[in-house]
Amino acid sequence: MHKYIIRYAKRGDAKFVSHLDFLRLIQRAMRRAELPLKFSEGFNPHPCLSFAQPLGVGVCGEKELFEVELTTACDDIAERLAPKMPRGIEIVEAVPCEKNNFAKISRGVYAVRPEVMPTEAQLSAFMEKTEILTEKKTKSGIKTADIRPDIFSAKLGEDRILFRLATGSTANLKPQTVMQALCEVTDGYDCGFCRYTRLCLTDENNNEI
Amino acid sequence: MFEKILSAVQKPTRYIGGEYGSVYKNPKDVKIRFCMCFPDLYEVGMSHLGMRILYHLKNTREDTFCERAFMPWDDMMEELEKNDMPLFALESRDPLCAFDMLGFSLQYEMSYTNVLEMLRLSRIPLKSADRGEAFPFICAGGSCALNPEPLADFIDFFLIGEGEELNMEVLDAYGEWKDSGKPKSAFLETVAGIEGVYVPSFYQPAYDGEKVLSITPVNPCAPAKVKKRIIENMDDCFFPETQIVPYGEIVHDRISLEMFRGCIRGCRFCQAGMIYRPVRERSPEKLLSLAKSLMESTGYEEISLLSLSTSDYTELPFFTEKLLDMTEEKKISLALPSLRIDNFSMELMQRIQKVRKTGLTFAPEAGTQRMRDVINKGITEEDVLNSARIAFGGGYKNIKLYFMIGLPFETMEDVAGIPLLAKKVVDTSFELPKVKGEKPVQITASVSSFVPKPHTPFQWEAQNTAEELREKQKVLCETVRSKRMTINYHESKLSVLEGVFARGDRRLGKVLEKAVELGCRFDGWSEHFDFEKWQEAFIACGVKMETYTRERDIDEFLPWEVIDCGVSKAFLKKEREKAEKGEVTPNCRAKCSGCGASSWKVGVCHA
Repeated sequence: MHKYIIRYAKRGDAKFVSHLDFLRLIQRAMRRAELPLKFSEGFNPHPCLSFAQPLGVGVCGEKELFEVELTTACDDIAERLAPKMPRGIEIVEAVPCEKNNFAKISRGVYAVRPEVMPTEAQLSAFMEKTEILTEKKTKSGIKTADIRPDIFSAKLGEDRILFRLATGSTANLKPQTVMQALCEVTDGYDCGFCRYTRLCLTDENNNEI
Repeated sequence: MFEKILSAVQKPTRYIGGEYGSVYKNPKDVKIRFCMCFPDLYEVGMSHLGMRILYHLKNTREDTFCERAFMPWDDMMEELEKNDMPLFALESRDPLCAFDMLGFSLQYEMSYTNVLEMLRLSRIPLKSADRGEAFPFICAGGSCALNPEPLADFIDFFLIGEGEELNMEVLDAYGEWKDSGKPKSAFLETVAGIEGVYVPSFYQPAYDGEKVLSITPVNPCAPAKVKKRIIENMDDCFFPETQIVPYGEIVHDRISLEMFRGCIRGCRFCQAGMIYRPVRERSPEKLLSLAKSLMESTGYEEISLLSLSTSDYTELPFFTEKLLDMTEEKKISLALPSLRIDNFSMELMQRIQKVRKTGLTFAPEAGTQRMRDVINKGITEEDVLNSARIAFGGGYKNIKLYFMIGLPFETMEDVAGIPLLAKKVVDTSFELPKVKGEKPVQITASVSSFVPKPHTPFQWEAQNTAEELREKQKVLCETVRSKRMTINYHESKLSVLEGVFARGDRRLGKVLEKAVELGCRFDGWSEHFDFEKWQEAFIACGVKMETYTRERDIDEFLPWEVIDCGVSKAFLKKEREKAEKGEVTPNCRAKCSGCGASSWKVGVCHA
């Protein structure tokens, strides 16, 4: 088995490509690169690809990852794949890997650049809350959820806020939800239009994957 | 700002461009900026092969940067207006009014309001006469351009027939004109001399009540009749070896490989079968080489063969054999639309699908033998039932049957024949031994309403009114019932309006303008189609729909006679007479019927 982990960045307009469309896009790019893809067994074979936690529509990603299985070893995957990508998707590197690395992903670091920045006091007041209730649309209707436990840290920069948020299969919080909550609970604050970037994915000890 | 707009709409990838295979150039490096405009959603427009061919073809030119624009959906249209932003091209995002030339693709009449709406969103005056020297040239082509008159007020010139050579000649002329500094009229006079170009402002129609008496040239540069262009040798003709691979799923999300143009069959209702004559094939060698390049360059997991009738490709067994060797190795699936169901095609399907058995589609078009002879469909009830037996025997459970109502010389007996035939198809499944636990068969009969089209033997016929169609739809439902079959039919009002514009004349221009003003757009989309608004537009303009749906005198001048599609009026008349008598005409390979297309001396006519 020849398994590789591929790191890539999703920037610019490519952030509007949904996860489902992105899956298809990568499959087609792998075919264009003529990599010796391993296909699944069965009547409808598809390439063996697995993706880390999906990026939401409208969110850029700096260090995103997916894994691919090939039938033979290949040391120029990144070189072959890079020119086969549409605008805005950059292949950073491809490294051989052993087991599945994505199970341990539990957090993501997000940079949010709002039109209007909150003050230090506003952000601290937000983080000092023990409970932040938000409404979440689910299949069975609107549910109220406490998002505070899913925000691990928040740091104010010059023109951006850095959030460390739950990102994984057990708990997942979108930065858009956080900004919406921040505006709702903070009197007189409206962030306006925000740009979102996921900087990296980490395990529960904040180690980058 | 653009980013904000995109964040507010449902499917932003419709508007961002940048897909793999899209072409980017520096606008400053080119002399000609062209925008291909498709008057429907991105997903529909990007599924149209003609648009893809011409996009890549024009971009092979060093002097030209060809971009794309589509009709924005409601949410995007609202955002554009709210943000005071004009409609833009996907690649450069420059407003359409900054281009040298816009080319609209006309594939169905119900997209005409979108043509006007796209101009309005681009802040370009709708009427050619109001555009003056500053605005881009607006041209249009596609199958609907074979009756250009309803859009004559809005389009500067039409490109009639196949576009590969014609577009290049027009761009050459544009480059020369741009250097000359002459007024726009000089360019129009030049292109009017190119075979296949129709400049409506150079022609004057004369009317007598409902009738059009003539359309005559009023400029010495304009020919009396504009002859359709064709590509003589398909192997030498440009076909893109790479294609754009969209982000989101589009309607036809696969490689489309065009096998041949034209159709040997000559069904009398079918416009495509008349206007794309003569039949010209690409060689299997050429197709295989194109397939290979396209599979490698696009990464698509599916390839589809495109033509009016796949089964009529002369070397189909050899070609599909070789193609399957290629697709199986690359794990690419092969789609074969419009395949006749016979033993060969079943073997083929078996090899293609191995296990997954989806539905099969079959088009008897009419319910009785008399009616099938009237329309020259060339198949018998036994053919239909045998195909069904083969399909059921091959394990297929779902069969979709296509029919039409409102055909000329149709009786209620013919209409009732549709559900009766569908029922007989159901019954053939009972001839097979019952297997326990097996799913029963399901037949769907999809019944559309016939619309008489220009350049066909039925171009003179009266179109059924919405009431007549509804009567017939009632008969469809009441004749025979079975749990194993479903009958679907279409909105009859939409068919009436489609018929009005299909056989329309220049006087419909003001109706179209009024309808757009009233908010009509995306008329082909049921959630948008608003017949009452259309009625209001017709009344406001003092134009009657009946003027256009009526039967035409056999000797009456028809507005599309200004276009010569290669098939003679004498042939169409003869075909109409044979239809009335229920006589069939053999296919082009069996015997030449002298339609006129042999004047090109190519393809099936040359063999």
